[in-house]
Amino acid sequence: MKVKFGRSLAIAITIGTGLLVLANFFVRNEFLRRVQQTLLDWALILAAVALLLGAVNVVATHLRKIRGRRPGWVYSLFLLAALGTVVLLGFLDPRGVASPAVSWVFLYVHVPLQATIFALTAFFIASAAYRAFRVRSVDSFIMLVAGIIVLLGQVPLGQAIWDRIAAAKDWILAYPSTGGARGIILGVALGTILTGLRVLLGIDRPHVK
Amino acid sequence: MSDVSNLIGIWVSALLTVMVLSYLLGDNPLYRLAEHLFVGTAVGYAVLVAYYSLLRPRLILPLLQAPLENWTLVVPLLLALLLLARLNHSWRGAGMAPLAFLLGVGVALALGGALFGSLLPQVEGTMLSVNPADGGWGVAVGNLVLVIGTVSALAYFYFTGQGDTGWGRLRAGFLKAWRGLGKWFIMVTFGAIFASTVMARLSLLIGRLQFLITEIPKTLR
Amino acid sequence: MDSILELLGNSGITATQALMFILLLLVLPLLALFASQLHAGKRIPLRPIRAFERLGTFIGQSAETGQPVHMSLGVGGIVDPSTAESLAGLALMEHVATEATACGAPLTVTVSDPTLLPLAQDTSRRAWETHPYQYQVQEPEARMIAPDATAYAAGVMDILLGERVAANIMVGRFGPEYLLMGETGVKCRVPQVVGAADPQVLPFVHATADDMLLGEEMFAVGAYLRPRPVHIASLRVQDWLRVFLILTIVLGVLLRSL
Repeated sequence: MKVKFGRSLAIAITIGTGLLVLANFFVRNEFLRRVQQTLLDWALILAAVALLLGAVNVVATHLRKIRGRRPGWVYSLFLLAALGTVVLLGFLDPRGVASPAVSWVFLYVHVPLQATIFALTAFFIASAAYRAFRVRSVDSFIMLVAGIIVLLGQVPLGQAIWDRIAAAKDWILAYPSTGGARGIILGVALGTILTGLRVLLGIDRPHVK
Repeated sequence: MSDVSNLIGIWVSALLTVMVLSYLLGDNPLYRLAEHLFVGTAVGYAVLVAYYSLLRPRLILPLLQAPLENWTLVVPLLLALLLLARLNHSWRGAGMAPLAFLLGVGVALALGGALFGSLLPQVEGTMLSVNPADGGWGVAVGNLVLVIGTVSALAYFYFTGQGDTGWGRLRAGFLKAWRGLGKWFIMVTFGAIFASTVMARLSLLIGRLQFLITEIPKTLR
Repeated sequence: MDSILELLGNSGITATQALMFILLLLVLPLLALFASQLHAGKRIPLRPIRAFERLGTFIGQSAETGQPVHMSLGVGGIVDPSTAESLAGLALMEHVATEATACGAPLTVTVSDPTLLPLAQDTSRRAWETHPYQYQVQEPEARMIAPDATAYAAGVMDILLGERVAANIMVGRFGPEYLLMGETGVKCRVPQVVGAADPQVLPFVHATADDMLLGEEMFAVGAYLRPRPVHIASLRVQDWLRVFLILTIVLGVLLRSL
């Protein structure tokens, strides 16, 4: 009985909040706008709390790994040390996230690591290209032709091969490529609309036990 | 920040950059160490942002300093406590209410975004003139290609219905042709996006290498 | 017509807003109609999607070898426009977690956004609880890696490189960091099933995944894997809306051109 009430309440909360936020897309009304803003602020606060729970989950996962001496547990030690150091530096200084120590870690540890790991994609894209552009069918042949024209259209070498290649690249990007992308985006919009409506109608309840 | 800490900082970031790039020689302990440090700082930093930029200024301080003016914040406070109750496994059910709230907000934003951010502008943007009198043959043909591309790529996703009757079979054949055409347009899109991304990613890598080449010698001067 | 527009304008509603609202309202009776037809026994056949068919094979392989399946729910959450993609990932996760616990395949589910974590944890718990001998099987592990998208990708790379994964299933919101995970999966020779929506990411999914759920296909999980009438009816409604959009576009093009 208690569980059942909890379920109904959860579904009602989702539908109620959802409709209030959604109404703003359809009506320009000052009161509704303020309600929506308040709800979004609350959501932000809750997302921050969820992050604390997430951090607890990260710590617990790696502690388990260390305790069980699972492969790679030593790295988990370093992960926890880095996490703990950043959090400690932040909480020891009243300026918190704006403290010089945290800024230093952010600028000289976090940012370069992020930028360099992301830059690895430059190599990954090369090996992915080799596979993607292998011609196995009409489909992949079409992809190859479009890819080559767009790639060569960006570099001087392409101009040397065919003087109108930049124009061809622009044409592909402006028309057929945009068309294909629009079809995908519209399809995704349809899927999103039905997924959202099913939740707002209480049909799908991924959050209810 | 002092010059010394900057100097150390540059060397630390150079060392970390090299450690990450060592992955290109194969998966190795140096890379994995750098990667774990990265994940650790990312989570730690997010915790600080969550507390100092959101929870403290938007929930804790307003409630402590002016509880009467900010009484509505009791609602998120209560939801926050219910969410935190999840830490105790037997109380996981209590977290349903805050999750229901978050999901309501998220679903509405997704739905509104799909309608007004995707559907409307994309449909409007595809209603183009294919009359050469409007902008010349080049534009007319281009627009026609764009329209056919959009329509056929959208038709590619058609999920339901394959009839056995004469009418159904005709419809299925018609649909199959459009879906095939749509797949080709999607392939052109894939090829074009792939190729335009290559350059952007390469420049990121060049940026990192430039950092190593230019910043480190500066510190030695 | 003008008087209707004026009335709307006074109440703060523009013509496009009204149009979108009508579109949304039209969906409801259609959904109810198709669902009731399905309940009455009408069959709506669906075109085959290979990714859905192959999932079972991968989970079976994992159960045989004891190597874990990794599932990623992407970098999206449940409080922003990425919600629909995250829900698509969760729907697939529910199926994968149920199958994995049923046949004893170890499963690790990872998320990046902390708001998605509780839902992933509850989904895994639910799948485990439905197992008749739940204390003899392992509960799927749902965990967060890092809220930063690149850090998340780095963490997934670590799982793929270090844990000898039997299959890698990724469905949800992905951005440019996708390539780090997808390409590592290929390098480790892990079979991959990937569903994503962003056209900027899909070419890389195409290049790295053995089977892909392209855009809208990722939202069809419910209809294909847990055939509930209302989910199949949803796809039918999507197809009707698709035809409606196509006709609207064609009509618009004709009006502009003439």
